[in-house]
Amino acid sequence: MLLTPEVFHFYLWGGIILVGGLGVVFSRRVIYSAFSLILSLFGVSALYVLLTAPFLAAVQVLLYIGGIAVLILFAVIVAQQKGGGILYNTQPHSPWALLVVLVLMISMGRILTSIQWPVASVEGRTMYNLQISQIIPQARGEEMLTPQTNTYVIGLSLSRTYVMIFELMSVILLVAMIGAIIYVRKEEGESGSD
Amino acid sequence: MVPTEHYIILALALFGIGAYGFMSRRNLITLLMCMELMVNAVNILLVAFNRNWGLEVTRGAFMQARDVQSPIGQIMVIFSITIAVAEAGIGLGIIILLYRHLKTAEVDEVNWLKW
Repeated sequence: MLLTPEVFHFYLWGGIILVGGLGVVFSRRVIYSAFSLILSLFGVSALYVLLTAPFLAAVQVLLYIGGIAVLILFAVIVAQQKGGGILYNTQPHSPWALLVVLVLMISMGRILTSIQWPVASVEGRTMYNLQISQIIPQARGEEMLTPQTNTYVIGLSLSRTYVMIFELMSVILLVAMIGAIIYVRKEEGESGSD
Repeated sequence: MVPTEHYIILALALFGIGAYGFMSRRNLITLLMCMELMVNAVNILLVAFNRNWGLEVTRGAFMQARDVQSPIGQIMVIFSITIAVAEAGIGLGIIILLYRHLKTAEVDEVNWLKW
């Protein structure tokens, strides 16, 4: 395979993702694990750009890094003031876990790579590659629509075809928010010592 | 164009790292981070398959545009990111609650329901 820029960036960011993941698992301190997680999530965002999904790349940075990772960092910081027990990892010493993961990965890898995945034709599918002029209907003598970028298509289908998923996401977020508040809230008469 | 098999291998490796961390670590916050790693591996697979299969899956989803690639995989990723956000909020709430009661965040010291 030729070393095109896409291939180069795939291996670069894939390596960054794997290094970040190993850092999450093998870091001694939890705060280093959190920073490694941010590195890994940023690599995944770069892979989304390579996979021609720029909207998802932005969502990944905004929600995962700006939301979840910062939430985890806050939890680590809050727990830090109460004592050191939450802050350190013991070294992983579990050969059985390694065995299970190896068996799982080898079997799944053999299954997934032995399937001949059908590849659709490339014609008319270059929309995400910033070559919008090729797919604008006007070029084929059809009626001119809004330029169909990735974000436009996602927004259109989220509000038309998959509107049920959109509503379900709102309900899930509401329930999770109320549940988290009820969990962490102090009970009546509970001492406020901590 | 990087073939889909390479993305499959990468996602498998990331999932394996996350699963190994999930099974060998004892700190609850680290467990939550390993779960995020596994969710991200599946998300990579969804987007990679969406690039190959998007046109065939739901072509009828759009009335006017015929050759528009369907973003069904990317919408599933958005849904999964929403689930992950809710899961992180609830999980960290539970961790803080456990820490308030037990003064620990190790999974094997939380044995209220054992025996």
